[in-house]
Parts: sequence; structure tokens; C-alpha cells
Amino acid sequence: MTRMQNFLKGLVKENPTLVLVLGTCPTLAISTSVTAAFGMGIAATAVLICSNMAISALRNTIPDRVRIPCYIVLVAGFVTVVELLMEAFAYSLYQSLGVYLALIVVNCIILGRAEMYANKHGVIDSAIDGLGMGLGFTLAICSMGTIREILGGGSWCGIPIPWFHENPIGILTMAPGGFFVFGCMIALVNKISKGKAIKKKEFGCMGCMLCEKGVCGKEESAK
Amino acid sequence: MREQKKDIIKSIVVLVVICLVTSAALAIVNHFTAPVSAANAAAREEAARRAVLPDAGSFEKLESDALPASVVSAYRGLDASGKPIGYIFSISGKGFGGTIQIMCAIGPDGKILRCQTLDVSGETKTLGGKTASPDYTDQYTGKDASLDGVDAISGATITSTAYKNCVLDAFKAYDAVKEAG
Repeated sequence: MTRMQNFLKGLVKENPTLVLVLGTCPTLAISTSVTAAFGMGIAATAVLICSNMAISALRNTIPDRVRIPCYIVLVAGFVTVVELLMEAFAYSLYQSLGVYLALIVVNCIILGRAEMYANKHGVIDSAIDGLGMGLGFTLAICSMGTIREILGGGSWCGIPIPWFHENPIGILTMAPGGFFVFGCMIALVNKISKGKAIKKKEFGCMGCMLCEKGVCGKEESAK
Repeated sequence: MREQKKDIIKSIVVLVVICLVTSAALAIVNHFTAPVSAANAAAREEAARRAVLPDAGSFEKLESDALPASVVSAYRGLDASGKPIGYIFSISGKGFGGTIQIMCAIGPDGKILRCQTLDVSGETKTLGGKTASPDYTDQYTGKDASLDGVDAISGATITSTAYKNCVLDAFKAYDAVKEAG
């Protein structure tokens, strides 16, 4: 796989949010406004790139049995750095992201990429993978934010839009509306990719670490 | 057996080293960002106090044990000659989706001069979030502790009630500081 393909796969073919269905919690919670969604995407991308690089650089040092705690500590460190910087230099964004900023630590996309990619590949490849996946997440969360903010709040990036502003569909900015938009977008992606997107083997049972070692016993039925 | 022991020790050492390095890095970052954050927070508070009590020349922080627990800070606004022209309380309460924070200025006559919403980011934007708009906050201006005629936002009863309770706490705090002189 060339580096370009490696980068592009995160954007479309293996979009972490809409195809792998990871990182759903921040996607649903933050996509009520486009600016917050964009901030969340960029923060998660920065953490993802840094953590992918750090984990990839340390992949031969970290013993297998303590890898998850090690990853969490590294990711938490980067998240806290982002948090401190944001509180100092982008306070309004810091406020609108609230607790979800700290929750990037347990974002499945970041741990997922650490497990599935960074601990098996080199530093540069991992950085590119992190960038692609992070931008894929940003793209997904921003497009969801666009739909929810325009239809649900009648504005885009805080700019009121005529007609929509007088007729907002309030429920779209709440949790049920989030699930509804999320479901529609996944359906749309599957329609466009003709259902191929979700059938990627790498992310099924076969991509799991246990399976490689033949521990769970499901590998026979999966074949 | 010896192999296993070596494995365990290596695991411990690696994890401890990673933790130490991470915390050291965080301490360094914090060292640089903490003063900026503190200065920003002070400036924001000052700006919010100016907004609710524009006529005040200076503010004096009030410390008292008698204030309700929900009061985050209390200030007395003084005019140019040092006469008190109002009291400012910033109060937090439990809204629908999280903590809400408001700032309320009460004049010496016991009437609200101005109410301002500091933080309702935890509330639903189109419902409870409307408590941040001047349409809602302006109705408190001139009200006394009975809060007669303040309309709740339909669909956002919990946020509206929480908001009112915050304002009532401001009056309790006002009585407390008045008594204390």
C-alpha cells in the first residue's frame, strides 16, 4: 500500500466513524454545532497523530502484557496537553467541548489505531495513518454537525440561515436526533459503497489480536 | 521461572518510566499554560462584572461564611467616590444537562439590576440554551426577590427552574452580605 493510499483510506474507504463505527460517543455529543465539531475533530486528530507516532516508536520497548495501560498513559498525556493548550488559547472551544475533550483518552479510534496499526508499523506510516483517520473523523463529525446545526438549530457555524432559523427541528440537536442523523449517514455510505464498506475482513473477528493467536476459537466459523 | 520474573520486572519498569516521562512533560506544559489560563479567567470575570454593573468604578471581593453554597463569588461594586452601588453574585446550579452558571447584580434597593448567563453549554441549545439570550435574562431586570412575572421557557422547565433558583440564591446571598454590612 502506498503512503497516499494509506492516507486516503482513513478519509473514505475505512472512515473511522461511518465505516468502522468507532468514536460514536463524541460524534453524537459534539455534532450539534459545526464549530465545536471541527474543534473536536482537530483535537482528536492531533492526539491521534502524536499517540500513533509515540506508540509506534515504542512498539518494540513496550511489553505485550502491559501495552494497554502504556497506551492509555501516553494517550492521556497527549490529551491533557491539548486540554491545557486549549484552555489557555481557545477558551470558548474548550468550554463548548466540555467533558468530551477529556474523553478523547478513551476514544475508540485512538486505541483502535494503536492496536490495529501503530504497534505493527513504522513511525512515519503511523503518523500518516493517524492523519488520515483523524481527518476522516473530522470530516464525518463536521458533515453531521452541518446537517444537525442547519436543520436543528437553523444556523451554520453560528451564522443564522434565513427560513431554517424560523423553522428549526429541535429534536435533531438532541440525542435521538443525533442517532437518527448518524443512522442515515451510515446508510448513505453503505448505499454509495454498495455494502462493501462494512464487510472488510480486517475489522471483523479476524482483525482481533486474540484471533491471530487462535485463542477465541471463532476463527474456524469466520472462515 | 526466571524468564517470567524478568518479563514482569521489564513490564513494571517500562510502565513506570512511561508514566514518569508523561507526567514530567505535562508539568512542563502546565508551567507555561497555567499563568495564561489564570489571567484569561480573571479577565473574563472582570468583563462579566463590568457587563452586569457598567457604572461601577471598582469591585471589592466579599468573603463570608453565611453565603449559600451555590455562590461561586460575591463582589461589591463601588462607584468613583467609593459608595456601594450594587452587589454582584456569580452562582452555579444544576441544570438539565450539567452545571449552569449565572451572574446577577442586585442594587442597594434589593432589585435586580441585571442578570447574565455565564455558562449554559450543558443545556439543549434550542431549549435550555435560550436562557443565555437577552430575551430571557432581561425579564429579571428590576425584579425583587419574589420574581413576579418571570416567564419560564416552554420546553425547558428544568433549566428555567434551575435559573430561577440561582437568582433566588443570589437574593439569599444579598441578604447575608447586607446583614454583615
